[in-house]
Amino acid sequence: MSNEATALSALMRAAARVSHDETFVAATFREWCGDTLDVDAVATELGCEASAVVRAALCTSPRAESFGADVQAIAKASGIAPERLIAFLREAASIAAFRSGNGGQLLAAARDNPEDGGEEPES
Amino acid sequence: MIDRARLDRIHERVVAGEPTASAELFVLVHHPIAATLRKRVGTLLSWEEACDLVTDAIVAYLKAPTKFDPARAGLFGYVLMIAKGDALNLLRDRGVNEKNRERFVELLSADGNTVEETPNVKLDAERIMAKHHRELIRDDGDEAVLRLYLDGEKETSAYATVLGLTGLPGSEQQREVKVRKDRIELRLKRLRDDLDEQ
Repeated sequence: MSNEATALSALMRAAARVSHDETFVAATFREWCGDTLDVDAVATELGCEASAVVRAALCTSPRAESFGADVQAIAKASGIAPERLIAFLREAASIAAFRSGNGGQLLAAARDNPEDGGEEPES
Repeated sequence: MIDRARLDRIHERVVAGEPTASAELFVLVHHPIAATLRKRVGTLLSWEEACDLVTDAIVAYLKAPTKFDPARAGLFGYVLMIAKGDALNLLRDRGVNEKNRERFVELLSADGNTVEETPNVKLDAERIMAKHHRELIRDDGDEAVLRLYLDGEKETSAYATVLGLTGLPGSEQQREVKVRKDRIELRLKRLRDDLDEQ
């Protein structure tokens, strides 16, 4: 593996490791993914390279008082379209709020398919 | 070679709370520090473990950036120091065998800590003297002093006894013991420097 590939691999590992720390954008990315950070899935959603996702993930989360400017800076530094990153972060925040408000159970129930043998919720 | 001025600017941005500063720090130093850490510790650490230790060290710095004083040291060395300390704790907790624990002493001491400042390190005096006898010991007095030193002995009287100085006034005992101990410490430091270059 080339030195660059090794370095990127190490940074991907670092991004996964900090994805459980709310300090970092990686945590928001992980929230969107579910339980584990999926760099490729995020890259597809953002329309960018995996390396750009890793770079953004290792940024600290945008500050509330300067959210727009911080997201712009993160997008620019990482090589991600700002409007896509903003939309993504807002969607991830919604998902996180939905989950924390016990919406996770409803989400799981909505995903159950009776044909797969899942139980139907009581009416 | 990583530009120290660039790291200093990153530190200023971290302190200012700029969100992109952390990523730039990771990109700049993560791989080099992990490589340096593995070079120092060798095969005792896997590449993955080295990566994780450096990640945790960078995060520790980011969560308390004002603990770092750029006037005293460079940021690269600061993060490396945190990672090294955690690496040694990891290996110690893992119960690495005596031969490798001797290497812990060399690594710890390369950071400038003296043996007496690392009370948790149990030193293998026999192994060190057997392996580095020629570099450390010139006479019987040196051997006796070194044994006490590696055992963490702090009392001047103990050193004075093994050196046969108990007949001298207290102040002379202290002076003679200090000369001997300083000589031993200097030889240990030279030995650490030589081992670090290998």
